[in-house]
Amino acid sequence: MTCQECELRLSLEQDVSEHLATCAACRALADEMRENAAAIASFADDPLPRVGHRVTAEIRAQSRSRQIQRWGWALAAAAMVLVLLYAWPRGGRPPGPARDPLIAYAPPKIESAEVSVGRPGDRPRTRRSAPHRKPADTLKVKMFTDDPDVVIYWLVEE
Amino acid sequence: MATKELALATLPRKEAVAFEEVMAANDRMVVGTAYRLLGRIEDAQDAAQEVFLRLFKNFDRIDGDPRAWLYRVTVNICNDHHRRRTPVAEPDESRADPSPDPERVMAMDERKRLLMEGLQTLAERERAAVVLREFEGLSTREVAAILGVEEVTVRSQISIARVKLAKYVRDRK
Repeated sequence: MTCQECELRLSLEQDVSEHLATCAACRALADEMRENAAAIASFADDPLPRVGHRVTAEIRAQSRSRQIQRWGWALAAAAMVLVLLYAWPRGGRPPGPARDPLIAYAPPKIESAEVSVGRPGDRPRTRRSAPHRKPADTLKVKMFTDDPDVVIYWLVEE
Repeated sequence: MATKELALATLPRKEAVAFEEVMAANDRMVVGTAYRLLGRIEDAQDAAQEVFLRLFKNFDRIDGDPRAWLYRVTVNICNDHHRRRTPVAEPDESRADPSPDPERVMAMDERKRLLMEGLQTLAERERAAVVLREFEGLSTREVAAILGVEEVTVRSQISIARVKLAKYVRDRK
């Protein structure tokens, strides 16, 4: 048996007593293996720290962190809803510059005017000319616009 | 108190209790295995914590005895740790044997220190096989199942590791 074969058989815990009787190197190696086995067995008695409390604390910390994250997302979502509600136009109109409904931005263009002057109840005298005013009369100016449905009457009483 | 916190975290109370029982029963085994594989107790504690956090996340998916799962995950996590750092095995003075024979104690402590160093010089698979088989006392079949290899492979790895460790210790005495 060679020393290499002896090593292999030693490692497999097979009997190599014949070779060991004649080989000091292999005998020394066999002694090391035996003592190593005893030392390995004694590791079982060594005190070891426990990690249970560390694990529990870590789980707690991770749980808290997740809760904080969840609250963060919830608050962000609520803030987004508020912003949308504030920014959304009232009455369903698309967003644009605010307009005052009482102010006409593009008044109809006046194309011509008829002016009639008279007392209330009189048959109106109409003439197509510039307005002519008399004291105590009612001055009525009828203005035609570019919109056929829109006519403006301007009544002035003194 | 801890169970209540765990139950509040993610697990139902019944499972939180079971988790704590599993952790208490296997705490030493996981820390010890990680210590043999990594050679430093601080690293072993970090690795063990990671193992139990993974167990917590996967607790509802593990059926039956979780020991094989714990060993497998411990080996994987320690291998990852091992790859990330340069191994430095240090003699740990706190692990003194309370035996009355100081000479024998010193010799044994020195051998254990050398064994811990020697473990770090082994190949990843050899180290895992020898730690599970020799240090943890698992059967060859169990080790093969945990490492996902054939039994004959485990026998071969352990055989090589034994010789390497014997030579490592012999050359440094």
